[in-house]
Amino acid sequence: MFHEELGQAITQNWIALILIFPLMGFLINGIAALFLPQKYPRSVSNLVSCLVIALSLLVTAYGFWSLNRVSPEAYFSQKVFTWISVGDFSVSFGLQFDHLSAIMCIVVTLVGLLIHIYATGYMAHDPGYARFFTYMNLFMFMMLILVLADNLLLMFVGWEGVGLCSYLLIGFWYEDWDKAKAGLKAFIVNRVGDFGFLLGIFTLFWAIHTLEFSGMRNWISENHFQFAGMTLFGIKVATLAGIFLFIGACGKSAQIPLYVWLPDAMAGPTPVSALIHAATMVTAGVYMIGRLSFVYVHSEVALAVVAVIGALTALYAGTIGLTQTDIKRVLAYSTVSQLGYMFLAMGSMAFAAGIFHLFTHAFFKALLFLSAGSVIVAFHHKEQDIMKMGGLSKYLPWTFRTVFIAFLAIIGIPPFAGFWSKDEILFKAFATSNQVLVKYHLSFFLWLIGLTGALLTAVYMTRWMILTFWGTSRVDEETKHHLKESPNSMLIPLGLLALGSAFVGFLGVPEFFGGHNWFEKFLEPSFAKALPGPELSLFGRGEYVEAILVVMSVAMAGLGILLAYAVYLRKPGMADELAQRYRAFYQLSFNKYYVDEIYDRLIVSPLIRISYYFLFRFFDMGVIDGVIINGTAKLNQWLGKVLRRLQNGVVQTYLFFFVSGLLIIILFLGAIHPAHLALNKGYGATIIYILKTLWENLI
Amino acid sequence: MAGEAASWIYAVSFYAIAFFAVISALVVISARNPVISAVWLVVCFISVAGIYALLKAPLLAMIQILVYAGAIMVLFVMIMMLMDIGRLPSGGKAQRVLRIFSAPIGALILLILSVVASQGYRLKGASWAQAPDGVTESIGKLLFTKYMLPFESLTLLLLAAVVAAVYLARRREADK
Amino acid sequence: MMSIGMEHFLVLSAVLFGIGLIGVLVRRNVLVILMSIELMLNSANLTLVSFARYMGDLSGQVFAFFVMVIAACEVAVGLAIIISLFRNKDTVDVDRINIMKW
Repeated sequence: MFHEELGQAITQNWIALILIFPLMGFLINGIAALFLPQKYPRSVSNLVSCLVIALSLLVTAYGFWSLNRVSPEAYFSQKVFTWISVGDFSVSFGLQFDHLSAIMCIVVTLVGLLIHIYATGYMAHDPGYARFFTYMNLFMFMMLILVLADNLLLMFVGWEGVGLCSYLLIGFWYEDWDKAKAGLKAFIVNRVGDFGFLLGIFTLFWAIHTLEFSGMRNWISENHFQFAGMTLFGIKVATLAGIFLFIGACGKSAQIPLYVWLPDAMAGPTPVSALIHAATMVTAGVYMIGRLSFVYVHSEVALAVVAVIGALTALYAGTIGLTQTDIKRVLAYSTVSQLGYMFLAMGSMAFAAGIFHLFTHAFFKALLFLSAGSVIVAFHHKEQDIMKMGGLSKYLPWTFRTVFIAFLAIIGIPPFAGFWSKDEILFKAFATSNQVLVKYHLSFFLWLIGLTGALLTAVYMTRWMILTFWGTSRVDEETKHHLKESPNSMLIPLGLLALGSAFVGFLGVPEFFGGHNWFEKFLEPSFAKALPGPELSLFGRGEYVEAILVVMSVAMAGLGILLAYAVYLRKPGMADELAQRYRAFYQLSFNKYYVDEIYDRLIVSPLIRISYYFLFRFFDMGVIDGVIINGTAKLNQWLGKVLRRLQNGVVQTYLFFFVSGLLIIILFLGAIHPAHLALNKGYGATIIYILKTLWENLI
Repeated sequence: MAGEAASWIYAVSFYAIAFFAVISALVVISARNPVISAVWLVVCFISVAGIYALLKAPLLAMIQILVYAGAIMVLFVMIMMLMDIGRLPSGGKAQRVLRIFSAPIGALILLILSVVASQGYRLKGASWAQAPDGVTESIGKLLFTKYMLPFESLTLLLLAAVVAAVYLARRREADK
Repeated sequence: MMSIGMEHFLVLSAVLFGIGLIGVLVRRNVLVILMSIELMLNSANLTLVSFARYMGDLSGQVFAFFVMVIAACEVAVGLAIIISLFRNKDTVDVDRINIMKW
């Protein structure tokens, strides 16, 4: 590692506007939803929610344009107000708009805007309209805080905030207990991850004493060797912090072992699935690693962990997605899988590649989800099982055309977006500069896993397309008559996203193909510099290696398509045959490897039981209610009962106490205390002395 | 200490009268029958009058006998006879416990006061002989000059006491 | 022991006071209590007069005179109260007169 050229911060006061617009949308919609639920017209709600996002987008675009006009190392910052100031520790509500934040903001606001517009059509008949857009705007606000924060604590605020909105939106139709449970599950699993995140924050603060990203980066770059040598509990600080923070990322970005909430989260409305669980919230973990790249480069062990878990998740989720039958659940597992790819990239120190995949994935995954939503709307929200669909390309032509583009993108067919980003990842994984991965020959295995994952992606996505849109229709006649295309409010965003999925990839075409990889260069100042990868060469030319890798991944995609075609389209019934023959694998895959059941048996039920019997019955009811609260009352009662006997109405009794008090005062103030002081003895000795004197005086 | 106070007659008289006073006081507080208490209280008062005489305060001694023994105790006895108060039946357990503790406490205070009082010789004052006698003339002179105001306000007090006594002891409708 | 000083009178008065105090605390009959209070007042008078003699100031005796008047008033009113109590509760047992409480 070498000393980095760190950029200068330029103060700009418009950054907060990006946040303020969604906040205003939240407030306006929220107050209207609370106080005039019936009379708030949908058109106003639409206008307000979409307009604020559009305004945010405009400011972001302006910021983006301005960034390009200053030096590559410079970035914009704005301290809105000082939030905490205690002793010499202070945290401010500070925003930074650097290259990485700019990209993230564009993703969030652009895709967010399109999804908001889509949602005006999707949620058109829902009674909780205003509440929905309130939560959506709040989510945008929180997500933007997350990506714009200039310190770890504020980022955590956004992190928690999006978790909250995720809960609110997943459990949007809370009257259905299963849906509400899904929301709870999401929040609770997230919280488990957040515990790790907090530990990471503490570790970093302990080591560096500041939580601001620029401050941390400066300190590390100046105290390079000291930071490299710092350990805590025998483990290098960078590794410890890296792993803790990654645990948080596993929770938020649904990696093993904390991914279990994402498939259940499909209980929420489709725009929510698209926005939160595809394009933005789940990518927060990836962003976090990118933002803290300057810490992670000091711990290749942590990065290796990230990469391994990412790759394994990618493969694992793919195997589950093969057998799922709910139209959104397949996409959910696909999201988990693609997120695994992003983490694989980050772990292989290809930070820009990971963010690039995040970028392209936002487009085509959102598009896939929105198309699924289009299908759901066509079935009037009554059917989501793809086994009961088929041949929908006839009935929903525009939906089909757009989703087809997304399909090509996610599989990795050139020249669509997914191809460029996924390939970049696979190449960087193969040729990683992460010494830990290289030392244990993991780089090759991870690449192999990634390649297999690409195959699986192709298979299950083709299966999904076939079962939903192609082939013979399994829809019953009654419903067929009602199938019609979605309204324009939904189709236009689909179209725009399709354009994105098609062309956005060109932003990151690597030199090998003749492009100049604008994306990677743009993000360069935001990340720590890593050492260059190993020199690969085949037949004397390094480019041949990359060529072969590309060919292999495209071939895998094609193979996947063919396999799925063969099984699902060519010979109907073959799928069931295969499921029968390989029953064990099928059951495992269909039941998600029984992970939810295992978690329930090992963790959730024991916790509930402990909570109920120990915490509730014993401690809360027994100790707190019984001993402390009731006990105090009973003590008072008893004391009262005893002391009541003093006041018996007989004046002589009162006189007795009167005289006793008098005696004590005479003795102590008059006799014992002065004597005790004069004689310098204790009280007891003084009393004895006085008694003796009395005795002597009387005799 | 000079003058009569040094003579043995004086001492003997003092001890005799003091003895009577203490004994009669003890009987007062320990007799079962309240009438006996009242009678012995009269004896006590007369003894105290004797002490006043020893202290060369003749007017006070006479007033003591007249007022205390003659009026107050007569009032006591009269009330006792009017209301036919005899011995009380034996009392409850509860207060007995308290009374067992009261006696020692009272005794303790007695002891302490005695000890303090016995140090009285340290006070510096005029000697025996120089003090004026408490004869009618001298006390009367003081009463009507220096202590005129308290003397006259006593009349108010007496009036209030009379009114209060009459009012409190009146017969009401409900009584037989 | 032969020459009687002020302390003799003071001790006598202290003893009488103590006896009266014990009587107030220990007896059950209200009338005896009142008598004990009179005993205490007398002891105070005795103190006053002995101080008057040994300090040479006649004011002590005048004060004692006033105390006697007040004692008389107090006895009158006290006995009136006792009569009233006796009429209501038909007892002069202090243990049975226990309404001065919550």
